[in-house]
Amino acid sequence: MKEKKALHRFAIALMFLYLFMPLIATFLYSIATDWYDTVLPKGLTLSWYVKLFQDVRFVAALGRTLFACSVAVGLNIAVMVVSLFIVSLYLPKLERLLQAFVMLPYAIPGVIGAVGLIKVYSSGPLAISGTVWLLIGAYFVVILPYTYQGTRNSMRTVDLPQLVSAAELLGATKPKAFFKVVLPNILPGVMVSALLSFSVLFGEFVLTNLLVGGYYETVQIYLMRRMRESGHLSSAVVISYYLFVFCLSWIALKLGQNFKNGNFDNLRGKKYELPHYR
Amino acid sequence: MSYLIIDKVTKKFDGMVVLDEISLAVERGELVTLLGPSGCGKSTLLRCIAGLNEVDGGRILLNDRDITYLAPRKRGVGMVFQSYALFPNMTVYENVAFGLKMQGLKGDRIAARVREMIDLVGLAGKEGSYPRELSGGQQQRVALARSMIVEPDVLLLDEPFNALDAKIRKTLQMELKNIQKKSGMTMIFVTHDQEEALTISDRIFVINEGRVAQSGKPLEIYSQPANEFVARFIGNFNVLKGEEFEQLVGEPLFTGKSLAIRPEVIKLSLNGENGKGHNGSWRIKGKVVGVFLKGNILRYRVRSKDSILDVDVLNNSMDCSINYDTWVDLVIPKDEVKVLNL
Repeated sequence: MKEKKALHRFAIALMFLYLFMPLIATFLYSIATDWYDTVLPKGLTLSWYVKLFQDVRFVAALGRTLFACSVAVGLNIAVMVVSLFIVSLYLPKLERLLQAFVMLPYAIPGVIGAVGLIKVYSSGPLAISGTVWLLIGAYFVVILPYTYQGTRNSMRTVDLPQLVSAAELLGATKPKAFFKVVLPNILPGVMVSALLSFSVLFGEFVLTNLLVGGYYETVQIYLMRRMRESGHLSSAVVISYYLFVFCLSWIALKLGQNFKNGNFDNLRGKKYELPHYR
Repeated sequence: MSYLIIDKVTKKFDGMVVLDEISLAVERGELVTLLGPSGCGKSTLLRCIAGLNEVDGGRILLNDRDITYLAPRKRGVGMVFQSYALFPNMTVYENVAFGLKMQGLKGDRIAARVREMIDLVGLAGKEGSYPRELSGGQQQRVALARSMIVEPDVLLLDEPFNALDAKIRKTLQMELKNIQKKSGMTMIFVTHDQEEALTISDRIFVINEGRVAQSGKPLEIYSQPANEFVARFIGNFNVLKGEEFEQLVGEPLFTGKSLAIRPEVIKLSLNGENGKGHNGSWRIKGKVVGVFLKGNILRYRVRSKDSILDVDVLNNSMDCSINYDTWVDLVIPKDEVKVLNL
C-alpha cells in the first residue's frame, strides 16, 4: 500500500515537473545575467524586470491590452448572462439556435476571420478597421463559446424558473429577482468564464496582429517586437504575464466563493450578524 | 360570494386541453385539497392561480378582485413549491425575510416578524444556516415560513411533502393543519396522495382530466364517491358492474348500473352458511385468493363466482388464521352498496 502511494506521488511530481519546467526555465532566464554554457545561470539579476517596468511602452501596451480585454469580456458577459436568462426562462426552444451561433468561432480559423473583418470594416458606414473597436468586436466573438458554456452550466445548477417564480410571488420584480436571486447563484460560474475568456484574450496573437498590429500595440505585439532584441526581457514579460493571470484567477475565485455563500459583507470586511435577533 | 372563485378556467399546452372549463370556489380560512392522479391538471390550476401560467379562458377572482391577468407579485398569492425553491445564496433568516424586504419593510420590523414566523414553524436556532445545511423537512418549513410571512390572501402548496419520508411527512401534515388553524390562512393544497388529502383537508376537490370529478368534505368524498373514477381513486373500493353484483347476490336490482363497496364494510367470517343474509345485508360465499398485510389492516382478496372482492379487517391474531384457499362467508350491508353515476 505504502509503495503504491509513493508511486502515485512520484507520478504526480513528475507531471508537475513536466508542466512547470518551461515556466521555471523562463523565470530563471528572466533573472539570469548570463546563461549559455552552464546548467544554471552564472549570475542572478532583477534588472530585466526593472528595465521592463520602466519602459513606458510596456506599461502603455499592458494598459491597452487590459482595456481591450476588459471591455470585450465585460460586454460579452453582460450580453450572455441576460440572453441566457431570457432564453432559459421564456424561450427555451431557442437555446439550440443560440448554441449553434456561439459555437461558430470554433469553426472559423483566426486568419480567415481577421481577413473577413478587415474587408467588411475598412470602408462603408462603419470604417473602424485598425482601431481598438474592431479588436474589441472580434474579441467579443472569440470568447462567445467560453462565456456561453460557463454561464449556461451555472444556470443549470440552479432551478432558475422556480427560483424566479418564488421571488416574484414574494413581491420581487423581474429585475430584482435577477439581481437578488439569480445573479448571486450563477456568479461563481460567470466569474470563472470571465477569467478563462480574459486569459484566452490576453494570450491571443493572430487576430491582434492582423487586425490592429502596430496601430494599437498590445502586450502580445510588444512581446513579439522585444523578443528580437532580448530573450531575457521577453522572458520577464512572459513571467509578468503569468503572475498577472495567476493573481486575477485567485481574486476571481475568492470573489466567486464569497458571492456563492451570500457573504457580501465579508467583501467589505464586515462580519455578517443577524439583526437584533438572538 | 366565495373568497376564491375559479370560473370556467381553460388551459391548453400545444393544443392539448389540460384544464377544461374548470370551476370551483374556496371560502376564506379553508384548507382545501386538489386531489388527482399525475397529469390531471391540479398543479397547472395552481400555477394559473399564482399567475405562473397564463389561462386561455375563464376568470379567477380572489377577494372580489379579478386577478386573471395580474402579474404574480400583484395577486396576493403565496406558493410553496415541491422542490422548496429556497434561495441557495441566502440563510434561513434571509430567505424568510425576503418577502418583507420586497415590501420595503426595514430592520427591526422585519426581525420581529421573522422571529415570530421562525418560531411558528419550529426552526429557532437555524436562522444562520444555509438551505444546503438543512434536512428536507427543515427546508420545507423554511419554504412555508417564507411564503406565510407576507400574509398572502391565499397560500398555494404544490405537493410540498412529496420528497419527504413517511414519518416526517405525517408530522408535517399535522403541523400544517395546526398552523393553518392558528393563522386562519386560506390554503390550497395539491396532492396525489388520498390519505394525505383526507387527513388535512376541510374540503377536497377530486380532479380528473382537467375537471372537478367530485367535491366535498373528506368523509363525504370517502363514503359517497360520486362516480367510478372517484371510487377507484379515493379509496380501494370494490367497483362492480350491476349485472356482476346481481349474479353474486342473486337479486335483479342493479342492471345497467355501476356499484362501489368499501372493503372495510364487508364482514368476513369462517364456516358460515351460504344463502341470503338477514334483512339489510347479503351473504355470499367465496374463496381467499390473496392475503396482504397493511400494518393495522389485513386485506383479503376473495373470489366469489366470477368476481373478486377486497375485504379489510383489523389486524388481530384471530384473523391471521385465514389463509389462501380458505372458504369464507362475506356479509355485505345493503346500505353500504353505493350506486355510482356513469
